[in-house]
Amino acid sequence: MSNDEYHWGMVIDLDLCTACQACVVACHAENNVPSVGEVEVIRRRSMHWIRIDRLWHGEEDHLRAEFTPLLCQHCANAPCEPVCPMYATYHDPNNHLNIQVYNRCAGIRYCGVNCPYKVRHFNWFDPYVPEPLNEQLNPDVTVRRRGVMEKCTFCVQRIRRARDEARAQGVPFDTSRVQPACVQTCPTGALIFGNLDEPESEVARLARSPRAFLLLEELGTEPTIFYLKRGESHVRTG
Amino acid sequence: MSNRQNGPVDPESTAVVMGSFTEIEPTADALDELRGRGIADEQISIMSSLPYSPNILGRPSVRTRLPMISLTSAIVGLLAGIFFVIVTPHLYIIRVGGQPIVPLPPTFLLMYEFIMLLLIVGTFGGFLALNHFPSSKPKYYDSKLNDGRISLVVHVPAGQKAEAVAALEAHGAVDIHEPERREL
Amino acid sequence: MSVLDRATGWFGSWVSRGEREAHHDHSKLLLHDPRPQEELNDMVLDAMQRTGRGYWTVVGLLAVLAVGSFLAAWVYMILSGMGVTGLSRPNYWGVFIASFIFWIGISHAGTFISAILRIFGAEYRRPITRAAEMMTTTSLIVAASFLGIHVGRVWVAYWIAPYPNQRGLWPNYHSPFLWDEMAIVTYLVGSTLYLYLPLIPDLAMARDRNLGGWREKVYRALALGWQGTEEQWHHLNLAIKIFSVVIIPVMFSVHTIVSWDLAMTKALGWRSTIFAPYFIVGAVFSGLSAAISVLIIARSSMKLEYFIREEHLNGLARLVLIFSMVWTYFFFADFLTEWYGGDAAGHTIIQLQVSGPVAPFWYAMLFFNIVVPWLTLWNGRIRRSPKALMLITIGINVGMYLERYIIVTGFLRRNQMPFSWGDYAPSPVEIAIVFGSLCTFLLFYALLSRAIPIIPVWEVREGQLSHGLRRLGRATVPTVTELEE
Repeated sequence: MSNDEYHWGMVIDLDLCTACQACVVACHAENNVPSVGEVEVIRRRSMHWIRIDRLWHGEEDHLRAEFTPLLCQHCANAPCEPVCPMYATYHDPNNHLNIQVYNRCAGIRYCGVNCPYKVRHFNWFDPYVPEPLNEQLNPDVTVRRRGVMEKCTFCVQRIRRARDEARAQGVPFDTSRVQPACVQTCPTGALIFGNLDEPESEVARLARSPRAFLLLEELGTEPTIFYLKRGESHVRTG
Repeated sequence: MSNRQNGPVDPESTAVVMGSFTEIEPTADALDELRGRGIADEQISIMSSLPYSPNILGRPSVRTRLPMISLTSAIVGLLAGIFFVIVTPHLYIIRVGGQPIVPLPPTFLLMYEFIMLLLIVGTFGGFLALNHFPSSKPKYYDSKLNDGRISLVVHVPAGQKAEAVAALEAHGAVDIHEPERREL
Repeated sequence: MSVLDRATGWFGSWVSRGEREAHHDHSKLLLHDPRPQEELNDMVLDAMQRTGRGYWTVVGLLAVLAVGSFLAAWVYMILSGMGVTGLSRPNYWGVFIASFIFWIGISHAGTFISAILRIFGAEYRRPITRAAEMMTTTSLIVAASFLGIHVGRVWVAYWIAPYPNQRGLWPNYHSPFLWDEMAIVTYLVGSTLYLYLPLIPDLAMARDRNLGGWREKVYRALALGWQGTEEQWHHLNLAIKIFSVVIIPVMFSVHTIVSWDLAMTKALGWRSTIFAPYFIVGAVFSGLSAAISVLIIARSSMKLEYFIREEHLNGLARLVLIFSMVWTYFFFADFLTEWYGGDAAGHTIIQLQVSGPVAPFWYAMLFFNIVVPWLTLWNGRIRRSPKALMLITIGINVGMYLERYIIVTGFLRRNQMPFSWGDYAPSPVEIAIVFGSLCTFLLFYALLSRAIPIIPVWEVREGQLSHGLRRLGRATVPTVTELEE
C-alpha cells in the first residue's frame, strides 16, 4: 500500500474537441467495455465510459451542435459513494480517484441514480464477446458480468503500472507520462491528464486558466475534470 | 418464581380445589368469603378468559419486572448501535463522498433503530421469560375456560377442603372438583 | 328559507345520512350486542375452518399466478439479467422500487389500526386489529422481496447484513439502504410479535377445542402453555401496552427512511425536504384503504358480519377521508414550492407531470386520491356501504400506486444533463412480477386468514364488558368504562 499522494485530474479543451469519438473507441479497447449492440443503444443502455454529449442549439434553419466529452468526474464529494450499501464505490485518498469495486457490487444502482452527470453504466446483460474478439481483451482489466456497475477509472491500471515501473526502476515517478487511453488517442490533444498537485504540470496550469469551469458546479460535487470554454467567448485564452 | 401460578410450596398443603364461575360478581363474593375463612390470597390462583384487573376481583396487585427488562434491552440496543455504527467503520476505514467516517445525523437515526429493535425483542423475551413460556409442564386448567369462565384454584390444608368447597358452592360455582395437573 | 339555508340544509343532511339511523339503535353496534363468549368462539373458529370449494379454487388460482407470474418471471430475470426490464440510463430505478414503496405503505395500516387506535381509545378497532396486523406482516414480506428483485446480483444481496467476514468489511451506514434495512427489520419483527402477542389467548382457545390434525399441534405449540392466570394477563397487557407505544414511532421511522431513499439523492423532484411526512401520510392513506378492501372481502367470504359491522367501515372510511385531505395538503405543498420558486431544471419535473409523458397517470392519481374521496366519503350512508367502499378504496390504492410510480419512474426521466433524458415503460417481465406480487400478497393473506383466528374474541368481549347503556334525561346513551386500573 503506497502512501504517495497524487491528485489526478483532467482538463478537456472544448475548443479543440471535434467529437470524432476516438476517445470512446480507445476506452472500449483499453477497459474491456462491452459493445451492447444497436438495439440496446437505442434503449439508452450504451456502456461508453466516456461519451460525447451532444446538445442542439438554435432554430431549425440555424442548428448548431455543442459537444461535451463526458466521463466520470471523480468528484471529491462524490454523491455516488455514500449511497452504496456495500462500499462498492469509495474514494481513494492517495490518488483522489473514485474507485469502483466490481466484485463488491450487488447491482442496486443507487450510485447510478445519484450521479448527476449520469456517467455510471450498468451491465444489463452478460457481455457478448464472440471469438476471436476475446483475444483483444486487456488482461490488466476485469471483464464484468451482468449485474455490476462500471464507470471510467482514469485508467487506474495504467497509473498503477507507471508508478510500479518507476519504483522498480528506482526512478522518480514522472506523472506526465501517465495517459489514460482516451487522452493518448485524442488526435487534437483536447484531453490533458496529470497530477493537479504539481503546479507546473500542464494539467494544473490549464486548470488555472480563466476559461476553466466545472460541470454542475452548483451541486457541490467538486469534480476533478476542468473544462475549458469553447470559443465565442469574450475571454482571451491564457 | 411466582407462587400464585402453582400454589405455595408448603408441604402441609394436601388438597387442591377448583371451581368455575361465569359472572364477575359471584367470583368476587366467593373470593371474599374464602378470605374470610382465613385462606390467604397466595393460596388462590385465578384463571380467566378475559383480563380482569386485580381491583375488579379484589385481589392484591401484581408486581412485574417487565419494564426493567424493556429498559435494559433498550440500553443493550444502544450499545449494539454504537458497535455497528461507530466501531465497525473504524475497523476498515473507507472514505465515501467527502463525509466523515461516522456521519452524525445518520448515526442518531441508526441508534434509534437499534434501540427500538432491541427494546421490542427484549420486551417479548421478557414476557416469555417472566411467564416461563413456552411451557409444556402439566398444569391445573379448566378446558372450558375460554368459553367465558373464571376459574379459582384453591390450595388448602386437607382439613380446610370442605370449607373451600362450601365457599365456592355458596356462590354458584360449577364443576367443583379436585383437579389433576394436565398437559395443555 | 333562503337559498343558502336550503343548500346548507341539504348538504348537512346529505353528510349525516346514515348517522342518524345509527345513533338511535344501539343494538346494531357490536359492543352493545353481547353474546356468550362460547358463541363468539364458535363463530370465529367456524369462519377459520370453513374452507369450501370456492375458497380452494381462489387459493389455487392465486398460487398458480403467484408461482407463474411472480416466481417464474423473477427467476427468468435472474438468469437473463436486468436487461429484460424496461430500465435504462437514466431510469435506473423503475416499477420495482415503486412497488416496494407501495407495499411498505400498505403495511402501515396494521400498526395504525392496532396501535394508534388502541392508544387513542377508539373502540371500533377491537374486531379489526388482527386482520389489519396480518396485512402488515404479509405486505412487509412482499415489500422485502422487491428489494431482492430489484437488485442486479441478488445472490450476493446478503452482503447488506452486518456480519464479520473474511474481507473484514462491514456494511456502509452512510447509505439510506442500510437505514432501510434496520428500519424494515425492526418493523417486521415488531409487527409480527405485535400480531402474535394478543393472538396467544385466542390460540389457547383454539387449542382447547381439540380440533385435531395439524391445527391442534400448531396451536398447542404456539399457545406456549397459556393458562390465563392473573400474572400472565398482567404481563400480556403490559407487553401489549409497551409494544403499542413503541411500534408507533417505529412505523413513522420506517416510511420516513424509505422516503429518504429518494430524498437523500441529488435527483430532481426527489430532493425535497417534505418527503418524510408526505410519504407517511400517503402510506397510512393507502394502508387504511387497503384495510377496508381486505376487511370487506374477509367479512363476506368468512361470514363475519356479526363482528365487522357498518360502524367499523364507517370509522375507517372517516379516517380515509381525513388522510386524503392531509395527503392533498402535503402534495400541494410539495408541488407549489417547486412550481413557484423552482429553477429551470426543477420545472422540467412540473412539466413532466402536467403535460409530459406521465400526465395521464398524474391526472388519474388526482382523480382517485382527491376527487373521489372528497365527493363521496362525506356521506354516512356511503361510508357504511361495503359495495361503495370497495370501489372507492380500490380506486385510492390505484391512485396511490400511481403516485409512487410517478415519483420513482417519472422524475428520474429528467435530470440536469438533457442529453441523458429518457422515457421509461415497464416491460412484460416487470408487469408480470408486480402483478404476481399482488397475487402473492392475496395468497399469503388467504392462507393466513384460515390458519389463525382472524377476530380477537377476547378483545371484543373485553369491549362488550366495558360498554353499557344508561339513561341521561330522556335519552339512552352509551357509556364506556375504563376496565384497567
